[in-house]
Amino acid sequence: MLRLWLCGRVAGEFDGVPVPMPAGDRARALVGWLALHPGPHTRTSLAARLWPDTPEASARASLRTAIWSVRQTFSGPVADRVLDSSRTSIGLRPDQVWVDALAELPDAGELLPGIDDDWVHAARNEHRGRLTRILAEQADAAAREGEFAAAVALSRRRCALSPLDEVAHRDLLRHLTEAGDRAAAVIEARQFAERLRTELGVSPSPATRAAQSGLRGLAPATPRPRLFGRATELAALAAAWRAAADGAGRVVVLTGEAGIGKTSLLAELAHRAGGAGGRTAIGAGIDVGGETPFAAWLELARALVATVPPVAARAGWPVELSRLSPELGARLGRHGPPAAVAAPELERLRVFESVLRLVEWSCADRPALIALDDAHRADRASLRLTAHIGRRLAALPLLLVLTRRDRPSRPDLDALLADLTRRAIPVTEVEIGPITEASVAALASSVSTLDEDAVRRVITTAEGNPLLAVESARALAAGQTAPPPNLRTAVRATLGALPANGHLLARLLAVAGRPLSSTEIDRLGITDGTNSTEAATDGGLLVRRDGRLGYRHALLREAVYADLADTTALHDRVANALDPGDRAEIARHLTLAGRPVDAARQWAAAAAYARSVGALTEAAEFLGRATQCTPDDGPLWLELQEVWAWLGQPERMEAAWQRATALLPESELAAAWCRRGRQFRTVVCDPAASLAAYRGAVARLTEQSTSDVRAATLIGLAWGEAVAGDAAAAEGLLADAGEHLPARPDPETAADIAGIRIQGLIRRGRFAECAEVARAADVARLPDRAFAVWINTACALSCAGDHEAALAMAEEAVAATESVPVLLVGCLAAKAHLLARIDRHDEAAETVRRQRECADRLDAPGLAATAAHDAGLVALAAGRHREAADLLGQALAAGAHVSRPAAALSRAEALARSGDLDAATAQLRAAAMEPVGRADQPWALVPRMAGIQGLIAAGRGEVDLAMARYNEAASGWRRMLAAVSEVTADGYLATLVDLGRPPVVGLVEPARELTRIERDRAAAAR
Amino acid sequence: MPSFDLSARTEAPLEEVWKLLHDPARFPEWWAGVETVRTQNRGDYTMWPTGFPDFPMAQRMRTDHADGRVMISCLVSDLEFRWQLHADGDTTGIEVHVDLPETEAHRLEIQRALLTESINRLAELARRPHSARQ
Repeated sequence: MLRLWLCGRVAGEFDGVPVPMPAGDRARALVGWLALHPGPHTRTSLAARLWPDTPEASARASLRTAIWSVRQTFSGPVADRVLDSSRTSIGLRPDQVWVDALAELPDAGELLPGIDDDWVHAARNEHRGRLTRILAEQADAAAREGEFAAAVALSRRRCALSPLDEVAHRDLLRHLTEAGDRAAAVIEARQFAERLRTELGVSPSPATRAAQSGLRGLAPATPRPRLFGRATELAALAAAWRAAADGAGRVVVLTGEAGIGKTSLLAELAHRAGGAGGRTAIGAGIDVGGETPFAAWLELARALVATVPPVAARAGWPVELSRLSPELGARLGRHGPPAAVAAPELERLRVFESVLRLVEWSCADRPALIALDDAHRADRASLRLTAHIGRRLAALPLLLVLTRRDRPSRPDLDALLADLTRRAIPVTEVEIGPITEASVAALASSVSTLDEDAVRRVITTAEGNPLLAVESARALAAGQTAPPPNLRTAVRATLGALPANGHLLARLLAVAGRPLSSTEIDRLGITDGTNSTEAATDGGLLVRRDGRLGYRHALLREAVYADLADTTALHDRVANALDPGDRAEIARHLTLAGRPVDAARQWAAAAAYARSVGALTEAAEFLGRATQCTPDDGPLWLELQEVWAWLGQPERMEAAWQRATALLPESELAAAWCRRGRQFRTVVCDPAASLAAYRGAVARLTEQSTSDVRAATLIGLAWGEAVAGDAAAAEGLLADAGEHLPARPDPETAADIAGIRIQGLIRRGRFAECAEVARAADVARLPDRAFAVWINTACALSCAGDHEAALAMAEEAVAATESVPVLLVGCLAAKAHLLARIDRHDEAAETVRRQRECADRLDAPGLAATAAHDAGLVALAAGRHREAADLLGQALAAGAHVSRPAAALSRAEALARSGDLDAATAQLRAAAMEPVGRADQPWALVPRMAGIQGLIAAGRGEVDLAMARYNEAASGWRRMLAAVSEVTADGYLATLVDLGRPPVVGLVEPARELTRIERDRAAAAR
Repeated sequence: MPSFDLSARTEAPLEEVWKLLHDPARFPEWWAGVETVRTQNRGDYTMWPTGFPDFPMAQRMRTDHADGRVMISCLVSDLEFRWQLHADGDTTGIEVHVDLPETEAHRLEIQRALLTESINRLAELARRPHSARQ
């Protein structure tokens, strides 16, 4: 391989050995040309290119001389391997040459220094353009990943290449600001302005001035609109802000028709809140058809992380924020991805929790105003997150403002507000109605100087709508004889007055459907973009807000879009310009641009993101669109069937599975069946179906099947056997899997294997051995795996009667899951019950209190109900019977995901021991009416019921009956003593499968129960 | 499918019948034709019919919720028994529905006789729960 360096020097190397370059100028130029254009070229064209001012015959002769010179300089073998020469053509063989100027990130040195040909000058320009484009892309990519220092370094290289490039300069300012180095950005801006002045004698463009003034916290380029006739509404908003700032968080909803001035009011409120020392963040709902989950909150989170104070090093939530976007965690000093979890629901809860923590942090040092503009357009996930945060703001110095149109209705937004009201969160609805005629007149006059008649016509046309008033005033000021009959006509007139490039920019922004960043605007590739932008903003159609350029109002955009005849090419152009992270949007534009294959790829990427933040409905929607674009793509159907599985839609899952298996090549079927097996191991939790799927994978293994697939299949089979088949066979299968694994498997796989071993040991009743396996497992950085390994082991040791050791395991679990509340609740439950089991009741009560607090915060009613149940059992064990009865009653009423008959019996016991015998009797009847499933360990219910009947009889003074009941209960428990190991292990796994949590709370110990019965019987006998 | 229904009423609260139906170990006390029972996992148990000590028959018990009544199905090889209880104050109505496959149609009358005896014994045992095993 010949390696050629043309940037900053002309040098070569062949297989690591330096190769001399020709001394002559023409021969060097020939090497340069051939290197930049690998492959054969006709000698005629080359001669004309290198000797343009020479007669053809002379030029060909010169070329021959230059070729001879190159052959002489390159040694024989090099020339033979690299030169592709014939009588009519000459070239370098592409597969034998590497050229620095064509590399992924070429050097910035001058191309072909010392050669002064015209074609070299053109090549240098092209090279510089390519390099700046690459640097811009790489800087943006680095910023998206939160590598801000790298982004700045790349951006500086780009500016050094083009020191007078305003776009490059603005990007550098942006990256410096993102990196938190505002001072450097200000210095850079000052130097750039000076450079323009001294070298070109011009001032920076408005867009650059806007970016520069933004650094100093000055007003954005587009001035804040003046408000007319909104004194009452502003007073209400100001009062709400003051109350919130004093610590009584609340919600304000601004409702009104399109164009009535909601956004302007919000901007005014934000201005005043900021002026009063508050922190402000505004995000907007954007409904453009591709609903990226959490899009609105991503915008809000970006605004918040830019201004919040540094976060304590021990805080775990900043890294969790990176689930939304890596830059968020990075801005708070947490680089790297958050720990993976297996279930999308856990992902969603972790996103919720981390954003909630960010919001709380954002108002820890000052009151905050967080606003969701155009909430009626917001994506569903953002609305759910808004509800989650809204429920917790009453004790925060936080004003949450939502703006919405009054129609059409948005049921989930209505439900959100109704829910907040029901929870006693202060919600104030401010109806934004038409402004008065006097206000319309003042507004019209502020737009332009109009005579009285024109103002009168504006008043008549606008009917109190400020947007229509402005547009009408503009039309009249532009010389039209009458106000336009509707907004579309007004916009058409404004658009028609724009220069061609301004017109194009307006159309592209209409197609984009949302404001675009300066980087995106630059990528649109509009010639003379700055002037185009100025023309469109001067005309009032577009505005620049928060560094983005967009329509002054959504209605204006809609009016422009409605007039576009053929949008295909525009969508294509927008798709290429958008931030690469906005995959759903890009996919939508590619679909509309008629590029289905590219669109499918982007839809699939959008679905992957949606899955990563637990937005499964959106993931299914995106994959559905992807399969519409490329219906014969088997892997897409495979993805889709998995999402349907997570969404609990078995029929759709099976239909997609059938499509996938019909389309996938035979060589990929084993992996697909293996994946299906894992689905049944995890989301669906059907051990028998999982075993069948893994066996299906085994049947489809081919010689081409990879070690990964073979190992995963054997591990899956081992799990199936451990849980639902021959538990003893699991170890052998794991050993077989080891044959296909590296000596040190990746942490996930190693933790999986440890988990399977533990389950197999539990199944065989070898509880004590679990501890050794758990201790050997390296799960410190895998919270969900740590949860399974430590808690299962804690339960197993509890089964073995070693409660102190079990407690130590539960404490390990708590420590490993501190940063993941959704896992932590289960660990706290286990710890609380183990503490209660060894009579450390106060600690148990404190632990379960924390569990309830944590569950409540997660906003998952099921978890909260389960925590109430667990607290009830802890209270019962501590002898706090009335409290126990109340808590268990709450849990049963709220549908806690626990053994309902067992919980009902526990409540009956609590009632009986508290002396409420009639209620206990009724609760016993209710217990008998509960359905009994596998996880309810039915063998344990009968003696428990007899024991409680004994308590009730004893309480009523019916001593003989009480004795008979106690004897009946004792007889039942004694029968179980012999088979306790087998029965407990089986009940254990049934609970794990049916209730989805390790049953430390529900473990039944016949010997202990027998002791309790004997104690009750002795008490009754006295 | 051959089938039959039987019903009885007992002067016992529902809980007493419920305990007897959920405790296969006590089936020999009232289920005619069941000599011994060994309980296993998750509601599974093995029953040895009267007179056939070398003929274990695997059984499965499951329950469901229907119209506020407790429904219990026992699969005795190819026969299915659906027990339903409904409370009426301190008395309990007991119903059993028995399905036999076509191939077992000839056992219909035998089963009817056995279940008639069983339902009555169940009602009686529930009425005086502590008479049989003290």
